[in-house]
Amino acid sequence: MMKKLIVENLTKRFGDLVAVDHVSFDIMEGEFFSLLGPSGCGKTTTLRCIAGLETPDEGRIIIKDRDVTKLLPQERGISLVFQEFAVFPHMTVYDNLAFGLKVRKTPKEEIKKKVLEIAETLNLKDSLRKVAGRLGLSEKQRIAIGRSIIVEPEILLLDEPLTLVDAKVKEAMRRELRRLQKELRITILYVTHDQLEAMMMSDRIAVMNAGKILQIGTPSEIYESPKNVFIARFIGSPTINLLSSKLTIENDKFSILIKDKEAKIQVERKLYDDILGKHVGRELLIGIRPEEVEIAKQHMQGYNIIGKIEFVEVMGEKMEIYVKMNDEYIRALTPLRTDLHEGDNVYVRIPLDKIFLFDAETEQRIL
Amino acid sequence: MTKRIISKFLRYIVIIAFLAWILIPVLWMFTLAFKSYPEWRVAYFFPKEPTIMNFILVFEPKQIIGMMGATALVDPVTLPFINSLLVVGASTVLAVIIGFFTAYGASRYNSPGPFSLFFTLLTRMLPPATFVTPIMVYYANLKLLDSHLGLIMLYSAVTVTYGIWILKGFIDQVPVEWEQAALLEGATHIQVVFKVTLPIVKSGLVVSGLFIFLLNWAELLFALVLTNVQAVTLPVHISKYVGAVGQLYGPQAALGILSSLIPVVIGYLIQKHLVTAFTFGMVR
Ligand SMILES: Nc1ncnc2c1ncn2[C@@H]1O[C@H](COP(=O)(O)OP(=O)(O)O)[C@@H](O)[C@H]1O
Ligand SMILES: [Mg+2]
Repeated sequence: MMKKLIVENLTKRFGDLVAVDHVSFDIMEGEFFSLLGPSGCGKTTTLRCIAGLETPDEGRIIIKDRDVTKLLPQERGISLVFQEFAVFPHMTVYDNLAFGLKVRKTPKEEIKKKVLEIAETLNLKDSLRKVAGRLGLSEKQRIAIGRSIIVEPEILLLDEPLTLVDAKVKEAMRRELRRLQKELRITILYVTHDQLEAMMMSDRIAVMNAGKILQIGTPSEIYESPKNVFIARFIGSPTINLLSSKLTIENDKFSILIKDKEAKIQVERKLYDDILGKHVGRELLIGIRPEEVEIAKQHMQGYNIIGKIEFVEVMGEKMEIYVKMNDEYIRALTPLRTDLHEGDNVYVRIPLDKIFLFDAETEQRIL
Repeated sequence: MTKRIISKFLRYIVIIAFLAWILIPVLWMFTLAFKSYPEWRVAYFFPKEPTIMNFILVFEPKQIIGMMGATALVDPVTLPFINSLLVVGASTVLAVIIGFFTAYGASRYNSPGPFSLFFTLLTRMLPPATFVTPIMVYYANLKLLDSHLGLIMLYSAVTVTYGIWILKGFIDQVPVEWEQAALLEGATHIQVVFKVTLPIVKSGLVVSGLFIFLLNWAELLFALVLTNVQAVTLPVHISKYVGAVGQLYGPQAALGILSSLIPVVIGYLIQKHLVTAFTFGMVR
């Protein structure tokens, strides 16, 4: 498959602030690629550089084998859907959709044909004569997307297009957008701070923080093997448990001692020597996703951590349980259970094969 | 219950007092315009024998001679009326156009900088009387005295600052992303300004235009000093009744009504835009 967009070493500074710091990634034709990161991490700036609305300090941008770094925005073959949907309130829906074609002096007949086509796909046919300013958010959203794809861009950039939309509509729009992308085979670069959104829609995700890309991968790759503490914490809801611990050697076994909890996880030394050998004696963080934590009322084999249920929150079909162990909490997410109540003493199991180990100092993942 | 009635009552008292404060002079003018000659100086509100004589006198002032000791002749209102329309209309259009482009630069490119922008208000910080004399001297040399062009230039210059400040407020409200989206879709900068920004701030153009129009429509000092015969405006014309001829209150009131006619009609025609302008920012 062909590479639609290549971003190489993109760097953008605002005074002393490095908003985008040597960012590199590429996007395949027809791919739905997300830039995911907390607010202020440089996502919008990256998009604006790609679109040509900011001039990068370093790096190259290649769209469909053409170096566009020095080209004007309108010469790059990109469309951008802003957070502030660019829907002109004084024009009808038809004129909004036709805008890009009109300014390019496309013949009237062709404009009409294309607008009707897009309006059909986007379910806007009945609103074509309405003035856009009076329409609801979800319609404006569709108009904004329609306008940007009608000019047939090589790649469509979307900057948090669903932030202003309320939760109910949001879900429908996510599906809608994904459907459109598949149906029209659009290449999309999608920016969001919402990890769930990125996980649901993307083919691949680049996780960004403080101007840098930390990891690129499919949603499941990023979920199942986060590279560092930041990513592990950022992806997944409820948030991953991170327990401080220490790595020691006992009886020819690695022993990961959960601090102050007399609980430990032991593994055979010879199996893990490559990975763990060099971390002996260091502080570690054990990462375990709440849905992997198991809770029992009676002591059973492997349920080595003793704690007390502090708080239970029911969320639809599932419940989130906060177990207090000394001064630390561990969160568990389980299907609804009637046998667990606030104040119960319980036994907790952390399945060995589901844990991540991070070096507490570098925050990099070691296992 | 009684408390509510009392508070409602008080509220109406306040509203009526407020309206009386602004409207009674206008009402007085209105009734005065329909009073006949002997009643002009009598302090009751409604005319005993309503007449439209005053309106006729305004157009045929020859008949005034002899009344109430008036001796000098005043011209018909026709020419000043046309002059006012022409001068004020043209200067308003000019001030709004120049104001828009300056405001656009100020809003989008931060040009010419906030401090310079502040100084466009300079002509409004000084009392006009301080610079009307130098202007008169300039105009005398440039042969612009008593000319429409001279007044139009001056009026648009001293009011353009309102165009700038009001329109900058409106343009600031239009997300720059909308313009950038239009650029990305292939529009040129000129197209962006004329097809996107300008139509969106249309109500701002209308409102600043109305504001500037009203200011210039009622302007007296500049016109008094800089015009004489050819380019006399309505306020100057009205003032002649005050100074030159004596206490011709009736025709003055009729003139007042005539001269407020245009702003009232304009206000009525653009009320839709006024509403839009007051709620601007919510259009998104
Ligand atoms: N035009 C600008 N001038 C100065 N700083 C900017 C500008 N645009 C963005 N920044 C800064 O760059 C950083 C990244 O911003 P942005 O790309 O908007 O982040 P994100 O879209 O991920 O929230 C932020 O700290 C922001 O304050
Ligand atoms: Mg952003």
